[in-house]
Amino acid sequence: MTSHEAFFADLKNAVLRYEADECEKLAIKALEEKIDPLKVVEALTEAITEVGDAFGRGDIFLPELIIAGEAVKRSQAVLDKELKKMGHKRKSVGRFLVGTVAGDIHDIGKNIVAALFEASGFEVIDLGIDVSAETFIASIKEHQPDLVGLSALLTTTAPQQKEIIESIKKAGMREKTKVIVGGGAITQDFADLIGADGYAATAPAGVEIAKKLMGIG
Amino acid sequence: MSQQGYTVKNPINVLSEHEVAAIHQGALDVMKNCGLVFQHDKALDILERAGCSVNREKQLVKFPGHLVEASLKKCPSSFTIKARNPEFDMRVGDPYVFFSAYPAKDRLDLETMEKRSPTLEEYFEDVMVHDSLDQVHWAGYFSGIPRTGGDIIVPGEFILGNVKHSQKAGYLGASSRLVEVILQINNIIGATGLTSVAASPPLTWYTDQIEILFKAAEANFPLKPVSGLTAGANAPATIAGALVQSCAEVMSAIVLAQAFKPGIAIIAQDYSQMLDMRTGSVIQGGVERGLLGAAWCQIWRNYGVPRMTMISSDAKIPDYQCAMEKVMSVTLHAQAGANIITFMGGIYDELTGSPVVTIIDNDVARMIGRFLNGIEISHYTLAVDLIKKVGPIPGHFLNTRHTMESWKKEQLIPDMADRKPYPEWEMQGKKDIIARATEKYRQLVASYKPMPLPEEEEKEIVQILKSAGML
Repeated sequence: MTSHEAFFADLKNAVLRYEADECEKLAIKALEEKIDPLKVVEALTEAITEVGDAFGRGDIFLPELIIAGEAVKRSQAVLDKELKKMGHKRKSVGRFLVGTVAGDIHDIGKNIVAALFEASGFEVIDLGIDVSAETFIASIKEHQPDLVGLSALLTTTAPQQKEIIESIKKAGMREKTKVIVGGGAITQDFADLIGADGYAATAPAGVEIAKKLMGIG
Repeated sequence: MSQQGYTVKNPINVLSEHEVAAIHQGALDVMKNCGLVFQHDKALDILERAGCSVNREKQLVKFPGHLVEASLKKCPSSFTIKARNPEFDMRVGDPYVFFSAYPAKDRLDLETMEKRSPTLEEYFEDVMVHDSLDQVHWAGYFSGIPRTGGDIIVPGEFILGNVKHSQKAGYLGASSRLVEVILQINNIIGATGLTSVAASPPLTWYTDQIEILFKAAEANFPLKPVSGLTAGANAPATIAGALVQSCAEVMSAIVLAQAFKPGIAIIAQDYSQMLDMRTGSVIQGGVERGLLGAAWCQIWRNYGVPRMTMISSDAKIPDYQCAMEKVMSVTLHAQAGANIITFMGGIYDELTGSPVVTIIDNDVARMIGRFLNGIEISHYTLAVDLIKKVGPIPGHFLNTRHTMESWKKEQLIPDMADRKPYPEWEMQGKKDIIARATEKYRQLVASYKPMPLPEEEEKEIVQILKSAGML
C-alpha cells in the first residue's frame, strides 16, 4: 500500500515538474506492478487539472501547460492499451475533436487549444491541419465527439468553417454535435452568422465555452 | 523619376561581427544537417540539380553551405519595384529606406471606432488615401478587407478597383491562383509589384507558396521570401534561435529562386513574432520585435541583400500604446537599414487597422525620415561667422537671412501633430489627432483624382478577370 502511495506521489510530481519522460516511465511501471490503470488515469487527471488551474491563475505559462499536457497524453496512451484489454474506457470530461480547416496550414493556435482541452480533462482527437469537410464528417462518425472545434487563421479559409457546419447538417449529425470555432480571422459575429454553437478568442475561453455547452461549466 | 526614399548614413549594429557570423553558421548548420521540407516535385528536381541532397520520400532537402552562400551572392544588391506610374517606382537597396502601410483584416469605423469589415466603397477610399499620402511608398497592404457574409467580396471587383485607384506598386496576392491573375494585369499596366512567398515554420515550404515563387520568378518579378515564425511556438523562444531558423527558411527559398532564375531580385522580409505565453496569441508590439528586426537588417546588410520588416502593435484602439509600440521598433529598424518598413495604419496585429492611423503614421514616417537625414555639418550650418557677427544680447537671429533660408531645411513641419498655442487649439474645438486625421481623410477622398486607366488596358484587365472566373 505504501509503495502505491509513493508511486502516486511520484506520478503527480512528474506532471507537476513537467517531466514527460518520467511520467511515461511511471505509467509503464504501473502496468508492470499491476497497479489499477483506472486509478493511474484518475491521478493523472487530478495532476493535470492542478496544472490547468495554475495556468488559469497566471502562475504558470503555456510552455509548462503544453509539456504537462504531453506528459499526461503519453502516459495515458500507455494506459489506454491496458484499459482496452480490460474492457474499460477512460473517463473524461468529454471528447473533443479539433482541426484546422482545409486550405489553412496554421496549427499553433489549434495545438494550444488541444493542449488546454487535454489539461482540462477532455479526451482530444486532433485531426491536424488542412482538414477537409469530408475528413471532419468521417471522423465525427468514427469518434462520436461531444464537441467539434474548427480553427482558421486566414480570412480566406474562414468560410470553410461554414462549409463544414453545413456538411455536418447535411450528414444529419448537427443535433448531437456541438461546434465551436476560433482562430485569428474569426469573430463572434462570424460565428453567429455561420451557425456555430460557440466562439472563443483564446484557448482558455474556448475551454470555458466548451464546458458551458456541455452543461458542466 | 522614381521615388527617393530616405538615406541611412550610418546604420546601427545590434550584434557584433562574431554574433552575425554565429547566426549565419547556425543557419547553414540547420540547412545542411537537418534540412527543410519542400512539398513540390519541381522544386525538389531543381534543388537536387543545384547540388542539394534530396530525400524524395520525405521531401527533405539538405543544402551545402557553399551553395547557400553562392545563391546569396546572386541576389542583386538593389532592384526596382515598378509601379503603374513610373514616378512611383522604387529603387530598393542600400542606403534607402521606404515605408508602406500594414495589412489588417478589419478596419476601424471612422465614426464609431468599432472594428468591422469595410464596404467595397470604403476600401476604394482607403486605396485613394494611400495613393495620396507621400510616405506610402509601396501600396501593397490596406486596413480592412471587404467581406460579405464571411466571404471576401468578388476578387475581380476588388482587383480592378485597386488598379484604378492606385498608381503605386502593390502586392501580388496570397495564393498562386491570385498571383497568376495579378501578374498578367501587372504586365498590362507595366508594374512588377512585390510577391510574397511565406514559409510554414518550422522548416517547411508548402506547395502553393512554392508555386507562387515559380510564377513570379518566371515573370522576373521581385520576390519577398518571409518566415513568419512565432518564437516560442514554431521556432525557438530565443531571439538568436529565431534568427537562425528564420534565416535558414528565407535562405532556402533564395537558393531555389536563384537556381530557377539566376539573378532574380529578392528582398528578405522579417515577420518574426513572439508567442504570448499567457494567451497563446502573437505579440506584435513588443520591444523584442524591434530588436529582432534590427538584427535581421544587420545580418542581411552583411549579405548585401535588400531587406524588409513589418511592425504593428497590440493596442485595440489608436492610443498611446499603439504609437509607443510602433514608433519604437520602426525607428530602430530604419536606423538598422531596413529598405522597406511596413507599419502604417496598423493597430492590432493583422486584425485591425485604420486609414486614419495611416494618415498619422504618414507624419511618423516623415519624422523618422528627418531623423535619418541627420545633421548637416558644413561651414554654412555651423554658422560660426554668424554667431560672432550677431554677438551677445541685444543681438538675435530672427532677422538674419541665414535663419530665413535655413530653418525650413532643419525643421520638419508636421501635418498631423498640433503645434498651435493652447488658447487657439481650445478655440478651434480641442480636436485630438484622431479627429484631425479623420478630417484629413475626408479631404483626401474628396480631392482625389485618379490616374486614368487607359480604356484599352481596362478592357484587357476585365477580360483577364473574366477568364479567371473572377468577374
